[in-house]
Amino acid sequence: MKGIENFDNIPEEAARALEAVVGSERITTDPVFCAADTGLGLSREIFGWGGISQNAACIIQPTTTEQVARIIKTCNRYNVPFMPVVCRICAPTNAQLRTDIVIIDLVWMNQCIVDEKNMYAIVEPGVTQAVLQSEILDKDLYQFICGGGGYPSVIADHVGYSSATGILNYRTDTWATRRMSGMEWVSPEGEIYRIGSMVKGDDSGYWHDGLGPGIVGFWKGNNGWAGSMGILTKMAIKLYPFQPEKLVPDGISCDTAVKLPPRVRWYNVTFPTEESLEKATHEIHKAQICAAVNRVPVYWREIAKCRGDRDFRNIFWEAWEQETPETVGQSHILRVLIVGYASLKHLEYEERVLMDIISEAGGTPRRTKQTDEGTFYNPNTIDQWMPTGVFGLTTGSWESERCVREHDDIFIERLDKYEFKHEYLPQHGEQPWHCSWAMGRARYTETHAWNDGALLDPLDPLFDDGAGGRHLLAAFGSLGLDIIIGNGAQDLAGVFIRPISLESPAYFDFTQWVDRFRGEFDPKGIAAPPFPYMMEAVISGLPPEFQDEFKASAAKARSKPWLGNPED
Amino acid sequence: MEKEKEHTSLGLNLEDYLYEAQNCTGQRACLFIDLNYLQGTDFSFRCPVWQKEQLSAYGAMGKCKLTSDLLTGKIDFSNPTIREIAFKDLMCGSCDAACKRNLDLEPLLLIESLRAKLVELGYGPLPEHKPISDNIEKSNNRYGQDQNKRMDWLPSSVKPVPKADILYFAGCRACFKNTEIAAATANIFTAAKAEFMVLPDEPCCGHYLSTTGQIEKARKIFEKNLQLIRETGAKTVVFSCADCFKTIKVDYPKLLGFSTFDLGFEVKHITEMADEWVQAGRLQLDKRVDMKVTYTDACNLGRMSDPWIPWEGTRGHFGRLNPPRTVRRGLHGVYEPPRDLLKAIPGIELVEMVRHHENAWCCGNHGGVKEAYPEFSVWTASERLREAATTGAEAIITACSGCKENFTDASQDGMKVYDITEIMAMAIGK
Amino acid sequence: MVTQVAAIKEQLAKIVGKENVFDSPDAIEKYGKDNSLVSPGLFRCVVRPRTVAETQQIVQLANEIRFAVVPQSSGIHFNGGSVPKEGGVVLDLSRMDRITEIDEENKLAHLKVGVTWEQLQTALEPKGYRSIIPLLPPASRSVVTDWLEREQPVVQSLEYSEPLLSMQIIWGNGELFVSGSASNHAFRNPGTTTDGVAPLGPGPMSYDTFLTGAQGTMGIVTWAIVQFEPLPVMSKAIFIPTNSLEEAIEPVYKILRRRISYECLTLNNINLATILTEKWPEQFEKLRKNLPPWTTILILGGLERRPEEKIAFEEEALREIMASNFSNLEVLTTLPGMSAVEKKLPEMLRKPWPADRTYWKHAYKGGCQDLMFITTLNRVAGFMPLIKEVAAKYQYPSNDIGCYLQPLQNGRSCQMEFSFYYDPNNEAEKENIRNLYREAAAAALDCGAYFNRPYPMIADMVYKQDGDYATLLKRFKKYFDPNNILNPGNLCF
Repeated sequence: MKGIENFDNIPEEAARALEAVVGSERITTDPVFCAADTGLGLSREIFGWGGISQNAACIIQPTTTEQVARIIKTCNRYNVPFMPVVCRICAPTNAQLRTDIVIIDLVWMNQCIVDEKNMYAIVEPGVTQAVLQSEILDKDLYQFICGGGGYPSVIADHVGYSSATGILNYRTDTWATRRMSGMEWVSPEGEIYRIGSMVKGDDSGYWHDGLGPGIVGFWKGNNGWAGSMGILTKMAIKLYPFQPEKLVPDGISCDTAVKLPPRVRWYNVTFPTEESLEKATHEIHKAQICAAVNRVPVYWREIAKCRGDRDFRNIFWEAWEQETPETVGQSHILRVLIVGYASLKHLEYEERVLMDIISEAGGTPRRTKQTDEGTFYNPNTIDQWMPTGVFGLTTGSWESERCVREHDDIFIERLDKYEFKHEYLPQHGEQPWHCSWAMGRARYTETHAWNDGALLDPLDPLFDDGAGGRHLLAAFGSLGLDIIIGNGAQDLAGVFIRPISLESPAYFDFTQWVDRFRGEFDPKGIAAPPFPYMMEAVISGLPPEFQDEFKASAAKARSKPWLGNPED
Repeated sequence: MEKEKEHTSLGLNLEDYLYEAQNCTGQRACLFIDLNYLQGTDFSFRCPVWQKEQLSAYGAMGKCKLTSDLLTGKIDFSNPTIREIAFKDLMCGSCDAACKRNLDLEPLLLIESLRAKLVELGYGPLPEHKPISDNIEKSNNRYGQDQNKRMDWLPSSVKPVPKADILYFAGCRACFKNTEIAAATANIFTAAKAEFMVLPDEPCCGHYLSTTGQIEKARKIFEKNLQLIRETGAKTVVFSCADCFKTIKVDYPKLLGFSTFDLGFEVKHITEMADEWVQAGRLQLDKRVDMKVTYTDACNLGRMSDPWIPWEGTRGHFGRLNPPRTVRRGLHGVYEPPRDLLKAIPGIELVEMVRHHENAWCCGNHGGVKEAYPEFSVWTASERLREAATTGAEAIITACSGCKENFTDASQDGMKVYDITEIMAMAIGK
Repeated sequence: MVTQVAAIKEQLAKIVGKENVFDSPDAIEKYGKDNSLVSPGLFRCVVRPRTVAETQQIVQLANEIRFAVVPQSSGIHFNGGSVPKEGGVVLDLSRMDRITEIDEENKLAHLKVGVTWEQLQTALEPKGYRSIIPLLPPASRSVVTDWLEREQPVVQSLEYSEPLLSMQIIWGNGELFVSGSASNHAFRNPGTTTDGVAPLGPGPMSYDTFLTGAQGTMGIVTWAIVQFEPLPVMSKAIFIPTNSLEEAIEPVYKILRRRISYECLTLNNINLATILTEKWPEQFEKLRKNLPPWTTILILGGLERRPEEKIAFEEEALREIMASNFSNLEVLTTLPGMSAVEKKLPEMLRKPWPADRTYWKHAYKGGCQDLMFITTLNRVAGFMPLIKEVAAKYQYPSNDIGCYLQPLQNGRSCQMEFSFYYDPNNEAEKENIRNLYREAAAAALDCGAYFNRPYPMIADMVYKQDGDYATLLKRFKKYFDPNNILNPGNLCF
């Protein structure tokens, strides 16, 4: 095995059996290698700084589906829990709460086959969003990259993270289950199944639903199983028609961008009021134009100014601290993308329609750079997520535009409630980021508050003992629960950072279905424990006063009975 | 009582990088080239040691997590795995440039400091580093050769002058092994009618010592060398070796506690000088050289060569630094002059690889890796040659003697390896 | 047995009222068969609930007493899936026929399961909207059922891979459930802030996909949310005639890749003739003789803003594609000998088949058996000769085989549909078609056809090819319908 062999936390016999599957170069039980691979990313904050993160016992790196199946069967035989991992950025799967976990590292399963003609790609877990995009952009195709950035795995993004939220899913299939066009699954018992047209073979990723009932939804709900329902070793992803001209990269980090060809253009438009911006947005949807529609908050503009040799955080804060509710309140910016899918004249047509709409709504088109830094490959998500040393408190929801406007009001009201002077930057009454999806039929909103990482990091001289609990409470507890369960919405926090058991039975008691299928497919409970109940485990370790508030909020929401169909 | 903000500085004190260690986001920018430049799965990675070893521990993000564990006592510095992770790193700075696309963490300084710490505690350098280190200390060159023969490379047609504004610092490799580089450089000076001087007893720049964590030894040599250079009165010191170039431009000020701008002389690579001369009409690269080539950016000439500016201050709420700090990102690397020179030569067809400029893949000959992990070092070079081959180029051009050495060692399929000075020399008919 | 049946009827009557439970011979005959060649099934009675609560009680009773429940939503079915196979009761959901809401701001319609195409399009059209629709469905066909059964939309440039969003479900175990973002205690009641737009969840699963293609074996959908779109104010039909199906494929690939057109489909002369014929039989014979062997139909459309400009750039781009790549093919704006077809067709394709006319598939001979499967456009050419070969074996004239190629999702895949017309009063002919159909399906399956709708006559061979998937489905079914009371005998259950 690589490094120093250590069997303190895994039976040697089990480790040797795993070694026989992949060979000695692709497995390690060295505590140093294991320590390096756990507690990264978002999990660092939730688990690492909270002192509950443990190191895994073993890391194993398969390269084929058959190896994955054999590994899982071996784990079943020896009752050894496993956790599949690919990217390490935001998934709490990168933290272990137990010391006996075998990390199944899928990074090196990274084959990508593109069927250009039939517009799909079959990817393995190690293929990242940006790599897939780069494989297809010069083939007159595109897919969109979600807000997690271009670094995460395509498969993990589609089944793990919210709805794979992104700017470009305005004119592509918005919902992840609609974009997944078949898959290969290794169940928690180690059996291999193929779903969708992939039953026909590796060259058949063109159809998503099954022979009869479709079960593609099994792996992707509002959130995902986070590894607790086995491993998807291949997925067929739908690709979408784009335009044939190249997006040419330019610049040196951190100022890189792609130059947009004539058939792809961004438009920044300012409006005098939020109402006029909404009116224009609505008309854009009705006219069935554009490839992306965003309402841009002021702080994006401030972040975009931070470039070059300047200290990133100082520049941002200097600029942000000059803002006031009055200056922020004057800013109503819509940013839309038009793609001339059919031809340059297509773009010109949509542009004329857009200008008609802007003019009617009283908006003003602004000069707009025709380069793109972060939409197509999305390398700079962390820019916005981490300006203060810790992941920002992001509340976000997706629903119809009407409902999302109501969610925004609630989120902002709650942020005021939790805004501590030194912990959260003032919002200055900032309106959230909006991103329209599904040709306007849905909208995604994100409201940010940035926390002071110095207060949250136990190793920082400025560490505040109570800040972590308050942070967790505000971020993942009542702020999310109350809105979601109480008012009904699907949201970012529900991905994997909110205890899902607290939502049932408000949502028709879905956890009983979760438990039924876990019992069916993972009777031993060795697939990614304690997922999908990870946050339950975390919260149970919090001080009682924080637990109480979670529970009170959930109880309040669950106490409301189902009101039935009003028309009945 | 208000808590004290963290006092920190840029240097090689590992404790100063606890913030980096704790604040790595696990994004993995350190492993991939700038996403806007991706061209598919192949050649999408930027970290050789991570690609070869395939474990997170070998990537910058793994090192950040491990440093956090080391500084909090969860892992001991004596752990042999830590030693391997620290010393198998090429110190090429690719992760550093990548991380700074979005964050202002300092992965490379963290890794350098880790090495320094291991050496300080007696867990480094590796035994394989000893021969070259000893040679430098005893013989003033990495080969242990007779320093009196250091300038034997000088062509008879080239006459350095005793005193000039330009000092040409050839470096150990060009003096003793790849003498064609020094000779070509000297011919370029002559062709441009640029008077230059050399140091007859030119010492080793000490690069090997500083990159293998032997900071105290390096510091002594740096002090001595700096005095030697300053005593020449040179206004500009010109290098053909990217390693020497970066060491004197960046590492001397870093270890000696001042800024690049306070060296007392300008530091330039021969490609910068030659480019200026070509544009001024002083140098004609007009002899035809029919060759399809690709150029590989040496790490020390490109992303690692931003000037050094010392800093110390406090880090407070929200991670804000006071005073603000200039971040070295590789934005000011020497990327274009070599390309401009190649494009100026009739007959040269220059094609780019996927990974270029600050995304360039390391040659594998850095940080003591070639001596300690020769197979990995040659593998790294061969990966780059594989990438070069996909462009259809018949030759790979570099601007560093270390790169040329390793590409030559790795080349198996007929891909020619040249230093850019050799190509320029061909273009001036030498 | 009689006692048992009487007891069940009595219990059902308590739930829905006596008038909504019936078992007359006419009812048994009507509900026990459909328009397919599946043999009629016997069952105990028909029950017609009006509310979700009633439906749930019926399913709970079925679990208690253990009788089969066969859901039917619109009384017109084509593929045998809703023919009772193991007795039980037929659950007629057509009383649940309210359009509960038309939300113009979000372009969503909230439909009970019994809402028909005619109802929906009639409600939408005056407001300037239309629902994306399959090819000429019967007017009385349920909208929700068509999408659950995976009928395919004729419009390709909008993303309609699964048109249903949130839905309410009664699982086979009698539990009530709501999938998607409508899953909330207050949905559609005061205080709610969801509109059911997201089909995902709740929790780590999306339940809606289990219901599609399930032929009522996993659960009963009582309402669902569907999308609708603005109705084009201006349209232009383009026709590309070809002599063979192969010739039609590449133009379709290239045109759809540029997202040109709303509706796009390819029909052979038989099917196009059956659609266009108004005077039977003389007009039909003339049309099938004079129409091109194959016609690809594309409908360009413009909405409220600058509609003529939209049509203009799309047409220009289309013609450029054809001129550059397929200069041997014509691009027509009408069909010779067909007066005003270019005006008629766009309107036809946006509506269901008129209720007062014989359904187009039955107009030729009275009966029609469709063989449909999913494949990719570049595989299509291989199937035609296979099917013809099998047809010849059963003395079915090849020039009587209807063919409909529906490109899907901008040309990513397609549904191929072969139609075999027959006289439903001729038993020998029916048996012949039955055998032809099975053999044709087997041949297509061997050639790589993907039967995402394994209807009863071919379910066995489809699942035999992929036993693993069938095993997996059974493992899910064990939970959704543990007593196998929902439409047993279908699929692999």
